[in-house]
Amino acid sequence: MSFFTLTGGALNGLLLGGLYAITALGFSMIFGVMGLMNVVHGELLVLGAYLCFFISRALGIDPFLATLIVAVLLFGVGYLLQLSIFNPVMDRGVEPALLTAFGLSIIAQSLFLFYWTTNTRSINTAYSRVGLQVFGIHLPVMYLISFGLALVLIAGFHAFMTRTYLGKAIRAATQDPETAQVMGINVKRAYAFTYGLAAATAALGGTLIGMTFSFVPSSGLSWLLKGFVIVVLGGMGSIVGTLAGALLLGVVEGLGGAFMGTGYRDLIGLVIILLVLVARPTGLFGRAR
Amino acid sequence: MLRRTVQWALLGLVILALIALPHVLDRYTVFLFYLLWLYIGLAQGWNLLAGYAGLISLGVAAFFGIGAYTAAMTVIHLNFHFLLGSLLGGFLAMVFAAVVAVPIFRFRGIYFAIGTLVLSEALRIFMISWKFTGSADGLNLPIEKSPSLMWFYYLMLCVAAGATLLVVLILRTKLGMSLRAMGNNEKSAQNMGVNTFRTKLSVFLMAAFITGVVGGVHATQMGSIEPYSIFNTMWTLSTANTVIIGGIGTVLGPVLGAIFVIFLGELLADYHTFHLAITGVLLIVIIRFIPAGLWGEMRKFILTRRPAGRMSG
Repeated sequence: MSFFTLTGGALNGLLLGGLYAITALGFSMIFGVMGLMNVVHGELLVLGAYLCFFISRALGIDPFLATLIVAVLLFGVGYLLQLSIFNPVMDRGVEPALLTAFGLSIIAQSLFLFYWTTNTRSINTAYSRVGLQVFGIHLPVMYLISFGLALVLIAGFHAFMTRTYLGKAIRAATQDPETAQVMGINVKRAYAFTYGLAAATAALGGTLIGMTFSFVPSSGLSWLLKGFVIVVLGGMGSIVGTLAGALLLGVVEGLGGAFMGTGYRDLIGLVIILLVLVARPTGLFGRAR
Repeated sequence: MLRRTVQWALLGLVILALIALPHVLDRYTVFLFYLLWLYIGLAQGWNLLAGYAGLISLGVAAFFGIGAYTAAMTVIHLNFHFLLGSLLGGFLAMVFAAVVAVPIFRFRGIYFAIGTLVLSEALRIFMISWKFTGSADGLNLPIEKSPSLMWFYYLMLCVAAGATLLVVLILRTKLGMSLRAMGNNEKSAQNMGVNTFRTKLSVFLMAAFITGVVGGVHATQMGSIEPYSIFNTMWTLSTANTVIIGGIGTVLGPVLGAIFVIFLGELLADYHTFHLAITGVLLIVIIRFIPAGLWGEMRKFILTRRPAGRMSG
């Protein structure tokens, strides 16, 4: 095991963590603001991937451009979902909402299966499958792009949450929905907006997944679980925590993959968080909710 | 008095019918009933956890799979009888539950649900790679020793009946009272002296045992198993579905739910994808509009019509 392979594994993992951060952001947001474990998130990512795949092909444009369209579409979908399906069940505690999301996830998967079959898809461009050689380490271009985008996105969200009225309204609704409502914030709409925003990030996440890896209708579950691992590691409700958790997961997976081979790679992340949770039940950066 | 006699007579008739069934019906229908008992078994276990203890477990597949693999491995390598293998499957699932209970009970509420899901998926990924249990190729049980479908029908019927009986008995004990107290308000129950951790643990172990036994029996019935289908979250989904549709937190709810789910499955047998979508829609609709499930709503309806002082169901 050379130092080289280890550094390569860790570095690749770190960059991949950027992609993970983007895919987990929506999940983290919804959990942080509404306390809802959005188990449909995986399917939103996959939907984003499929839509980007078809739209970029149909219009002959670069997938990133198509993502803009998909993001708007998914924002609408998310907004409506929260407004019509989740908001009514949220008052009854989190379990009904969780199971509702579960139901939605099945519907989504069966629709994907029906319309788009089990064929494995991937979104390819001239640059999506190539890598750069940096000091002898092979770094996939998509990893670099994802990492950069992750930094921009996280910074952007942080600014949005702290400096815009809407962002502050959402944070108010998160901290104390009742008082926020009394102060004139339409909490239900804030939730719907949050969901829409989360879905929009899923659009980008889906594109990145499609360009870096591949996907089928059932791909959602494994991405959802990664999202959960990241949220737990980074502490839910913390945007920066999500990035930290994602990068950590990436590095751990990268190192683990270098040691144990790729078969057990996904398993490592899951085992790690179970261990972390034993030590710190609210996650590394989290506050008790 | 007469009502009681009539009730017992009816029960006796039903039991006789169930025993006679496999001799009269075709193989396919017998298999359907086998599946019915399977779902009832799984559902009672899940209901005990979710309906009474308030713990939503999304890790049914994990215990089901452990039971299945234990049974298969002991039958193949240790020449165990199918019954023993299945029982052992239940025990091993229970041991696993005991081991993970400490970390997993630290998760509160919704973390618990996803924690069990993570557990289940982690186990699946692990089993796909583990050579000791045949990795992705799975295991094949010796066909020559395999009993007939009829035998499995009776076995699974006993499992389902046993699970249902177990739930009924538990509810009559101190554990049952602790459960109900906890289900209403955990904090208050704790203040009244209910050891909530012990209660949750007991229920968790029992549910794991039931699920494991069902898995063991199913594995021996199937004859060959592999990790993708045995540790599939579909088992978790179907179980949760069955209980929610039938009526969470009741004894007959899971039974009704299983009948409904099997019936629906047959109705939509040719439209598999549609069946999946309908299941999801049903779940959402029921949670939103009929949260007590079919039996739960029926019960409410019956109870409000009966003269005061007479409880039924």
